[in-house]
Amino acid sequence: MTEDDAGAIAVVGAAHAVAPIGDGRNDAELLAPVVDRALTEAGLGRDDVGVVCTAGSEFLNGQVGTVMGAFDAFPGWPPRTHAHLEGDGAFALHEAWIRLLAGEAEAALVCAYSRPLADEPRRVLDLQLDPYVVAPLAPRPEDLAGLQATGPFTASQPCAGAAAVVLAAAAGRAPGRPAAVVAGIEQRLDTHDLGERDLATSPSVAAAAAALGLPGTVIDVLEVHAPFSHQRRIVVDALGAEVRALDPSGGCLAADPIMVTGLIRVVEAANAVRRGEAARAVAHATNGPCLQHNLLCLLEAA
Amino acid sequence: MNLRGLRAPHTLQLAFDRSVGGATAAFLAGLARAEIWGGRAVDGRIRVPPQEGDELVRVGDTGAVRAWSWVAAPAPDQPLARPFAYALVQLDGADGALLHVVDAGSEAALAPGLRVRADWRAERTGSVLDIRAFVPADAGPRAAPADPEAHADLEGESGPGAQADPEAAGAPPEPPDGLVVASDRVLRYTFEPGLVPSRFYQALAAGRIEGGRCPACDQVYVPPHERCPACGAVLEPCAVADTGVIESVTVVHLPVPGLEVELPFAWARVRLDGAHVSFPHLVGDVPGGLEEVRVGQRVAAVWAPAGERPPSWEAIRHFRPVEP
Amino acid sequence: MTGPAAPAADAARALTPRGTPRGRTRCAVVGVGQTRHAAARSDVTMAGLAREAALAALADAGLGWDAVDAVVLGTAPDTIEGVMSPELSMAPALGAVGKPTFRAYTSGNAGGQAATLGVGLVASGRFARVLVVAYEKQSEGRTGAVTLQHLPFEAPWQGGTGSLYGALCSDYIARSGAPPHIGDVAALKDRRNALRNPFAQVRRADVTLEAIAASRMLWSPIRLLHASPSSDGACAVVLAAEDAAAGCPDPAWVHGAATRSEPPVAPAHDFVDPRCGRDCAAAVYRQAGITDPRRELDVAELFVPFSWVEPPTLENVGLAEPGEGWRLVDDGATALDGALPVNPSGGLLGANPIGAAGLVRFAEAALQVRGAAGEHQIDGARLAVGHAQGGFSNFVAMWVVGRDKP
Repeated sequence: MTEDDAGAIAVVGAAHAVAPIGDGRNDAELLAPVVDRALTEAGLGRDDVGVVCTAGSEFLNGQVGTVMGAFDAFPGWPPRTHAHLEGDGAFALHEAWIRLLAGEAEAALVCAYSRPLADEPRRVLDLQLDPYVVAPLAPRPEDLAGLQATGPFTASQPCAGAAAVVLAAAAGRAPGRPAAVVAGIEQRLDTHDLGERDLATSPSVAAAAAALGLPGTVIDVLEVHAPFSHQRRIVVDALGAEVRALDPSGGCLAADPIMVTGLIRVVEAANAVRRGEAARAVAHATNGPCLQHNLLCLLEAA
Repeated sequence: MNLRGLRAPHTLQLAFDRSVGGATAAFLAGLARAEIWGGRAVDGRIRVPPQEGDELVRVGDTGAVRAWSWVAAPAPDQPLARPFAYALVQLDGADGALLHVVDAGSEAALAPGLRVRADWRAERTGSVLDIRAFVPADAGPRAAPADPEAHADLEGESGPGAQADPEAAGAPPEPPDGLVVASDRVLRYTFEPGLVPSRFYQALAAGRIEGGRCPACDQVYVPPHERCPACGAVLEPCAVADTGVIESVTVVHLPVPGLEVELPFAWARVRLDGAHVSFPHLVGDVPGGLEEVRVGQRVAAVWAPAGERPPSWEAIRHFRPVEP
Repeated sequence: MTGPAAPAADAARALTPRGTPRGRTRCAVVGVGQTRHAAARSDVTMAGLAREAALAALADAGLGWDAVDAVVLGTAPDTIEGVMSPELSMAPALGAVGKPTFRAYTSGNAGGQAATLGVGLVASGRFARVLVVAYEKQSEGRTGAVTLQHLPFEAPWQGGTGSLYGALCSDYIARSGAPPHIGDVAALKDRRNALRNPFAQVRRADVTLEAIAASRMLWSPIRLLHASPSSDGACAVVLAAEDAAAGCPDPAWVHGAATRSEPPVAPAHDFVDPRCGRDCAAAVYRQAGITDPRRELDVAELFVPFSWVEPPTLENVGLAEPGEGWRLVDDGATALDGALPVNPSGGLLGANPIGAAGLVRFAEAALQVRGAAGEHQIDGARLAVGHAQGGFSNFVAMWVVGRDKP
């Protein structure tokens, strides 16, 4: 480890799994084996994790307070710092990274679960719309995405899934484990008012990319969270970087566990670095209609 | 794919009357008067609808289509029954666009910059749906709005910016008292409790209580989980007695939705013999009255008759006090 | 990304956090704001409600929206208002457009969780000023609480908060031997305190000990006048790093902040005295250098949704010896003129906007040490604790704030 890495936080374990909707397992049953794998990869035990950040959505499976049931799957006893959010797991990753930077612990576990049991899984996302002047018009996420498209586009296929990422500072790492250093995480929120946005561009991706110093640089691997096929190009353009491999994992169109998909992009990008396939990788995650809220995570070889 | 787990229909009823105020209320009140009000943001741009903190500015009810998304097969809850477009309409006098629907008959009739005008409903309530749709500006005569006074200053308007001058537009609308946005959504699910809970519920239906023993902690959970919440080990199924002890109890005097039981009733956390965690259940058959139910009281399950046991805690009607 | 306080350093950090030393930047509470709380705030939208608190906090700090580097929104569960990820549709109202925006979700604890995340954002050294907002607008549901629509296979009696708290309080009584009037005394204290709080929803001057004791039983031992109301309301605080706080008129300083949770189903989970609460308290006192919290703290704002919850909470967060919390209440030690005033604002019995209620406790603690609490000010308060909790007693957040820099 170089002198420079002393204060750095790295991904030392990352795993995910997707599953068909309705395979009978609950959130905890989906998540537990993924958490096990991430911790095993990291060479860490449950007690080594001082911060846990979780993400999911109670509307996806109709269960108020899903996190109460998910506790079986992540280290929770004895008590520790834990935060939960309704949204994509990549945003929970941001919180975990911040808490480690703030010195709250030496290692953190980030996990997300998705079990879309609603009859129309993607339509649950209608509940993100402004309830006063947009929701009464009843546009579907596909309809709004269509405003952004210049031609035909493909929508992702919702599925169930879970992901887990272990972050650790130098003092929290087990020796000899491959690590992907988190060189930065930035996220920005655009307005929800689609008429106020140039939907062909993404100011929030551009601002996050600028804050990470990405424009004009080379990225070995870029993993994009684009639930609609045309959104991928918008994200790539907004980065302003040369991308050598775009979505080498295959992307998220074929399997999109809503609220986990963004964290899976981090898993894929981090593992590309940890396997030595990339010196510099970027994961993108999004939430909200038409790429409203965007996060970028820059990962580099240790 | 679901080989072992239970599943059942489930709904979430989301029924709200959402109150409005500020910029949103002014926008909706304007629509009730067949007027469209936007807001001048701090950067000078005029946006529709206005956002909180904006200076209210009247804009035109005509404009140009900036982008659209064609809906070939509208769903019953969508604004129009025949194919239509969701569109971003840049109203005359505004810098930003308004998301609404365009009723143009066919997608071929749409083009960037297409001029459209609001087709107002005769009866308006202060809703974004007071505009039935935007229609091509050359499509037939305007329907007469229900309130001709409110509409008078719109007659003859044409060019961009016609209504962007607030002084020419009159006073911003005052929202009527009690203006709400009604929101009704029923989310339908096929709910699955999970594999281990399914086995537990099915055991209850068969008159048995199945716990989960942690091989590492030697603690028994009722209901069981796949994993030990304390250490993460995979729990092993084990049988648990249907007798136990009350850990805590309250007498409930308020009705519980979905629970048909006479008030008041006793609600207790019961820890079964051999188990290390408690669960909530009802206590009945108390000879001396509910206030006699106390922490530490021994209880036994009163099962529903065989054949009337659902895969749920409701397979046990309640717990009754027993002698130590 | 970070504020105008130190642009050069911020830019360098953004490029190479690899070399950034970790550790805690000092954090100040430079602005506090809350809305008038009411059974129904039918004059505003959800965004308008949250914005009202945010504007008040910014005005208190003497700052504009541009000064904010990140926004944290706390509210939960989303089902109460039927809106998913409300930060999305509230973005312009919260000045969040173009900014990093975070979300906190742990039911009654959400407001406290949001505040501790805000402290973390500042402590990380990456954000100079953070706006933390929490809100709840629970008056608008037409068909009863969505949160009570029980799941298939679950019994309808499994989820009720009132039953849970009734049982918790009866358990406390069984353990401690607290006499039946303690709930009445605690309720009268908070209700009288609320009369001094202009933001409180419940301000009834005519309430007596006798009226409380005779009020309708809901979930024994909890009676109607022991219970908090259902409220619409919002709260906000502006947090600033030490450098950025320099220009602000009247900061309170964060001496300690932490959040802890535990599985609600673990055998060791004690609903009455949860370890997450004990650990959280120990952590914030340690950070603040407090060894005798009952004597060193001047005032406490605790999350007490039912008056009977005050005694076990005092014990849980180390402000009373085990089993002795009810005696402090009985002796008046937690009254406005007592040795350790608890909830001089009236606490949740004055208003309980669930997702915001925890942040209100944190905000009230800050007001006390700034000497800015108005009629419910505790004279000379220099060190105060704010506390929030939620779920099934399994989420807790706390902070200790002081008049002096730590």
